[in-house]
Amino acid sequence: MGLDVQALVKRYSDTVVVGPVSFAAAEGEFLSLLGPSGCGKTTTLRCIAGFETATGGDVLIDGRSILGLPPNRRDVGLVFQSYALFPHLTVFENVAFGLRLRQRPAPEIARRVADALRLVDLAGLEGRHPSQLSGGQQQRVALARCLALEPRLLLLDEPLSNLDLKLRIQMRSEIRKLQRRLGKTAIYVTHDQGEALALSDRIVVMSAGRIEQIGTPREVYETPRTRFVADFIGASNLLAGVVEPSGTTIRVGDARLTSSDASVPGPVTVLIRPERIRVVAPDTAPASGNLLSARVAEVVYLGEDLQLTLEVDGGISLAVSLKATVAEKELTPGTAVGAWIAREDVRVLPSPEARGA
Amino acid sequence: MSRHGRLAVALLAPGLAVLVVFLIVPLAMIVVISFFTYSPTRIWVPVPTAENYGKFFHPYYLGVTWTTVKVGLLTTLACAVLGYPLAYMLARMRSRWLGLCLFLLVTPLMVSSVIRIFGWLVILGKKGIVNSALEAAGLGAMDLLHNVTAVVIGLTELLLPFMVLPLMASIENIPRAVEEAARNLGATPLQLFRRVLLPLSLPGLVSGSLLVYSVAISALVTPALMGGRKVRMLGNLVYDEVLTSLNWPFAASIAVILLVFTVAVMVAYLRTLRALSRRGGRA
Repeated sequence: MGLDVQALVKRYSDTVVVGPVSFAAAEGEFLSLLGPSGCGKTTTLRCIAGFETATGGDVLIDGRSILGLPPNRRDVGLVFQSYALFPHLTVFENVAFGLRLRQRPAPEIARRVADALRLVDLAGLEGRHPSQLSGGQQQRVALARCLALEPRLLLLDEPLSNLDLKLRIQMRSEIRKLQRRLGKTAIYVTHDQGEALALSDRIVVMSAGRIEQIGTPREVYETPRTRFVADFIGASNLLAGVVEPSGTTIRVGDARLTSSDASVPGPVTVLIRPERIRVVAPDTAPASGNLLSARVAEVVYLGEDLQLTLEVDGGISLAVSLKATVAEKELTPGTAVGAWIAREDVRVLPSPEARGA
Repeated sequence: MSRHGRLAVALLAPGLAVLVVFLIVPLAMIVVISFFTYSPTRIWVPVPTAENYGKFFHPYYLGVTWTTVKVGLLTTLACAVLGYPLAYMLARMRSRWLGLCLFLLVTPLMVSSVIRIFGWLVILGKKGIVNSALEAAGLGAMDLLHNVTAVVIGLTELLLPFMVLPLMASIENIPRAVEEAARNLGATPLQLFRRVLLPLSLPGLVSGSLLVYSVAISALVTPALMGGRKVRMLGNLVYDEVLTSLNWPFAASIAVILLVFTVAVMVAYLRTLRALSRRGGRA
């Protein structure tokens, strides 16, 4: 059953901060709430945890509403961005905190704390205080403190954002492994699209208190439904275009593109991912797809990747990302090239004007 | 001496000089005088004696000591109980009214003692508001002043800010998320207070208590006006001995005893709290 959020609304006096938003997470699913700061993702999480009172809608766990319960009776584990460890307690006592409140017998507490600390690879640090731990270790204690109680639901509020990049990537795969192994439903709030893509079974993309799209990482990346999703997740070329009356070609500047997306005539936004553009010889005659003649305007060498800016005839510029190989050495500013884009890599999204209307 | 060392001495010297001249030396003089002999004509003569201390162990003076300690402890307790919720609210306040609230909090300290206590007389006096209400309800008036409770009420009003301000600073240092984490892990509001807020705000509670207690047991005006002849505290005793009886050696010995009592109670208090917090941390 998992978690079911139904038309949740959070309003402060007259400002709607969230909603209405509806989404569901199946048992054992890893669901991310992704969006820029202020999009309402954390508020949504806090409504589930009980630290914000929902103005409207409902939150169900295993089919039962939890909105009437105080935070201490919701049985959802929350991992805070700041870890929020108890500074006056040792690692052992931090993890034992919830078990002591539930008045479990001492041997059981000892066993469950040890299990939780072993899960997060912290066995042996029981006697330390939080101030004696590194950021990564504190993060693990926070996680263990939640897991020791075996909550019905695991809520994670940007848990990795205070760690440095390497540790972040290591911790995120550990979190994912743990969540899989324990089969816990997890709701993960982040503004980091990379984290959301790497961790999630499904992603809820939020903006300005609303849900823009819900889908698997592949879906939200490959077939974003709105310009916002396309822009927020991954790098993108977003071009204003017009679908011609025939419905088969899209005019972008002076260029014409064909797309496999069905579309009705009118203004649209065209999305082309930088890594889907192939740089070919200018005189290539492809059998299918779109070939635009262009000139290299800028080359940025990033080690693994090469980032190009192409000026396409007709006044559009395209960002292109290539794997940096020896063959691309001759790509220097001014070189005339062809930019080849497959029909299915030209994505048609509603234009921002159409959305507002 | 290094340059830093010399600079430190130069910076500390004025403060230390003030302390030595106006605190340590007079205190030493009080201790010395407390061992001198009282003379009705010359106030004191430098003949060593322990008589002043011996005189103190009379049931009357011991009674006054007990009243003093009792008033000090009750005032501290009242300030802690009333002040904690207030300090918590102020520490968590995000409103622009915070400044006004803080101002209101310290107003008792800005009002002259006499005026402040006169206010209490209007409320608690023989023909005061409370008694008028009691009479109207057919319960008859009673003497609400001139007892320990009245003195504790007066002192609590005065000393509440001394408890609230340090407590507030302590509570402000506890991140909200830590509170929420405790709630999330299953703590009821009471458990949150007992296991997280109280141990983490203990430094503030300790300094607040010490301030309130030490000011309360050396109180003079409030017990004199609200306690009258019935509630006498060591401060009033010293005052009378110095200005009325002119028995300075005895006044000095009372002052020394008061000081010893203050320190003793503070040490006992600190020990207890530390033991409590250690236990609170574990269980």
